[in-house]
Amino acid sequence: MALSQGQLPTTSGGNGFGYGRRRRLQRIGQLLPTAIVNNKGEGSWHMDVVKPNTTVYERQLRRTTVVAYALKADNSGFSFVVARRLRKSAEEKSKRQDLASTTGAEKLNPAAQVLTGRKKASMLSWNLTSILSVPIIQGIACDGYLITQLIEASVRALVMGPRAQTRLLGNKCLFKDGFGPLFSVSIGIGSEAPPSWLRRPSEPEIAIVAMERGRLWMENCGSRLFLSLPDDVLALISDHLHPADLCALSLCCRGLRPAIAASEKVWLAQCRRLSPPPHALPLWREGVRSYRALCRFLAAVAPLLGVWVHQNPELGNVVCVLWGFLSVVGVRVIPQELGPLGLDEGPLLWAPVFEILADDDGSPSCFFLHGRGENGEESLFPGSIGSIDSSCNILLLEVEARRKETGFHQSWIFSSIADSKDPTFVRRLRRCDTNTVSAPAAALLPPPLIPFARLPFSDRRGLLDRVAGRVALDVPPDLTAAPLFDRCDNAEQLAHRRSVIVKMHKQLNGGRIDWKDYQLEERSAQHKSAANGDELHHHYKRNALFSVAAYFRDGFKQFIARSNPRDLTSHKKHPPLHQFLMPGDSLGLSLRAAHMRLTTYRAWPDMHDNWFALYKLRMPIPTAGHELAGLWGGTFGWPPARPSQDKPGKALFFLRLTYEEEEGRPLLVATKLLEGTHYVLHPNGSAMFVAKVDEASSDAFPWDNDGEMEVKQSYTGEGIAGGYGFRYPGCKPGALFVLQNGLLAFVWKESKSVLMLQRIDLPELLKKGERVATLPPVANFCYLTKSYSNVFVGVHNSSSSNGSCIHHAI
Amino acid sequence: MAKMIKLVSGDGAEFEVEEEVAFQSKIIKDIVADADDVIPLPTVSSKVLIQVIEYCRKHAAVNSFPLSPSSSAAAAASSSSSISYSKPVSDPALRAWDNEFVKLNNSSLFDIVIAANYLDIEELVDLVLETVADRIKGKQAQEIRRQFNIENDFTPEEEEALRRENSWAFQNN
Repeated sequence: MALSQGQLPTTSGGNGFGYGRRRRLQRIGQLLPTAIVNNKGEGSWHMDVVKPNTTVYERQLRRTTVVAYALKADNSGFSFVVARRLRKSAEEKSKRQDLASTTGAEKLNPAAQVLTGRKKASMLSWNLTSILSVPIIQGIACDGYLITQLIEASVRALVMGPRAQTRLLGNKCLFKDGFGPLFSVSIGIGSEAPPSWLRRPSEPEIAIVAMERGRLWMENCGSRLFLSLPDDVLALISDHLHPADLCALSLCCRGLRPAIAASEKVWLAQCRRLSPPPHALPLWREGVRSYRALCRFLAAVAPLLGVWVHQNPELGNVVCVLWGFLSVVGVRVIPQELGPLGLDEGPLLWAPVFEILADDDGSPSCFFLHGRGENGEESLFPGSIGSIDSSCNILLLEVEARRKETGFHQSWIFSSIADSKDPTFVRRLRRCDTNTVSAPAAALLPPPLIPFARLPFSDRRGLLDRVAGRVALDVPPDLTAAPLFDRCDNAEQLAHRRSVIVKMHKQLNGGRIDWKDYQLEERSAQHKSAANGDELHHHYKRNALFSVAAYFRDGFKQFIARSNPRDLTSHKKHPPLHQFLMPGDSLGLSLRAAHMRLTTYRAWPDMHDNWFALYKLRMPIPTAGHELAGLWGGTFGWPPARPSQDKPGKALFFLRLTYEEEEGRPLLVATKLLEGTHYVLHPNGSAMFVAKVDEASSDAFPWDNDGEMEVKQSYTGEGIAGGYGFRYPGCKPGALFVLQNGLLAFVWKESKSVLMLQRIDLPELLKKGERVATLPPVANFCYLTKSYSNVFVGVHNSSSSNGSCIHHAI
Repeated sequence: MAKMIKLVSGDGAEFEVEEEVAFQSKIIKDIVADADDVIPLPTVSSKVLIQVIEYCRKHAAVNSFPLSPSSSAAAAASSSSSISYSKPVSDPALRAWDNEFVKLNNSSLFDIVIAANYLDIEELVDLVLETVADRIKGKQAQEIRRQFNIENDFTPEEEEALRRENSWAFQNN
């Protein structure tokens, strides 16, 4: 058989193997030359010197000879047979052979017993004790030196035998590749799979285990690549990755887990990617366990940030969700008139709607609804978070029934994996048609029978009001006045408020009320209404315990009037209330952010009129070619001078400018979000004006008498005007002027009214704003009654928004 | 006549490079300003140093002619993009060369990034890390293990528990 290339000359003397296979065994010497390693790209390291069916290693020990014979060497690895036998000189052997065959000379030489006990033909009675398989190790230079070392190490293990198991526990060989220790090898002997004591979780290493029966294998952990990087380089990698990738990486092996999952720097880089207010990160870090927890919270609530709207009231219902202190806060901008200092200085009036705070471990679990309690004071209504879809466009307020003792979270989302043993259960699931809800399957357990959204409106309203009424939290007055979000240097106040509130949330068990209490109340309410004799006929077949309809009909006749006809026809579609309440022991408020297919008209979504939901409006970012997109605010009238104290305030309008395409023409559409008048002129979400961006206007700016006002651009367009009733406004021609100081002006041609607009940074304005009183909790979230006036200051039925509301000065 | 700087690698090999090539590395720039022209780099092996020098040579050649219209326009347009903090590589030919350069196996890549971090060559660090991140992005743990030849030494129960702990990250696709 061919010799391997470049072998060293053999040493003289010693074993003269003259028989058959023995001829092939050559004395090569202890060290193989360094292999010529061809890097043919990933995964194709070759060791050119190792040819199959050759002996690559031989060593003479005291009484034995050890030989490694290559069985296979290819792209996937090499394997060797490592064998040993007792060493004998040729003369001795032949002598013994003769003796053995003739004189039975077992007694002459004890060593001869081994030999003479065997047949002549099996002179090469190698004790095949191990097969060393070396897989191709990516990223490690597999050269001859390494192979030699490995073989010697395994030989030592073999020679010492199984008795040496404990002694070899700490046996390590260090392999060097010229620049220092590359990896270390642990050797042990066992008869089964490598026991865990052989693996050192914190070090990247190769473990060779020699089995009693003779199987050796080698493992390598590529995690050493990552662990050899300095900390800040690891953090730089995380700049390019998502949290999911980082978690997958940390799941790879034990060594990687502490390096990635517990590294503060890596997760700090992730947190920064989610763009929270930059100076806030170190402050927030103190409220949670680690940057990883902080990243978890930021990633979970980031989809909620932005502007959410609802059709009702028609004056405008704009809820802006922004960062609080380790929380996100949703606040509503009240329809108002511009203050004496104008938009930049004057406080913008806002009322809190909800907030979601982070728990210690970063889960967004503390949800509070803000609202006015029964006695008129500002209260908090705790609840839980259902699920937040990362591409959510609708925010729903619901009541959730949960099993208390097992602590399961029965999500209201239909999961495609219905893990239930009950066949009727599964059948019911299939029959119930889902909404177009595509929310992540969060349920590990059987999903409940009925989602909240399928209950009829009256039941939903009743449940929400009832549950909210029960969970109201009395907030100490100092906390009521405390700021919700960052203004300037009030981090301590914010932190204190947060910790107190989170504790309260936990104490109340997340705002859950016991079902039994609920039932008792219902029973008493039922008796009360029966005594009144004021029952409307309800055709649902219900258990008296669960009949809530009668109670609510007393209070909300207007809704019943509307919903009754629907109930008559649709009682088959809407499941009865007791089915909804059945699976759970406790009820609580819950907020859910989902993604649904919504139709829009000119960038305004079509909304359900009886869902307790807010709809997300994406604020477009100005880009090249769409420079005017975004949120703008302003008033009517020219010049846009700030009104002084004696003049009446001008109604504040919020408009959202987007670029649409209609019939192939690019248009700039201004959707009205907020109107600060006392009685609304046009429906919410109507297009205040539409400008054709490909058609310049030939009109001059009407007040540009002395040529001061430089007009950068002007477009023809149409502005809203009275049309066919309230619902269907018309339009009249006008022109849009882009002025040099970044202002916009839309001029109606005939009436010469001017709407002056400037860009708005809503979070900044809100931070400088002023807080006002809220409505009762459910109405505060979503005011479903049709209204054309300003209901948000309806507390005192005042027509002026500035005048007589309760102000909580911040 | 360009000034030559001598770099001595960890295994004693000496490499002479032009000044502008060596100055891609901020560390070398600082050392040369203070001290002499022979810079020992004991932690960098020859093989890695050769590759780093090749990168620096290519980028020094490009940076010395920065005024080609396509590259400057591209630089202006890409300067508004967010994540990468180092200056973006603008020339498409250079970008193609960079992509070829990083077609290496994992071990070499990591060696290069350690050396580049030591020598403080920001662009090279970013380039290599981006390549490594591309190899990790969007993969499940099992695929990452296969890619980097990492041994899974978790028991199935441990792995399941860890997956549950990290479920918040995997939920939001």
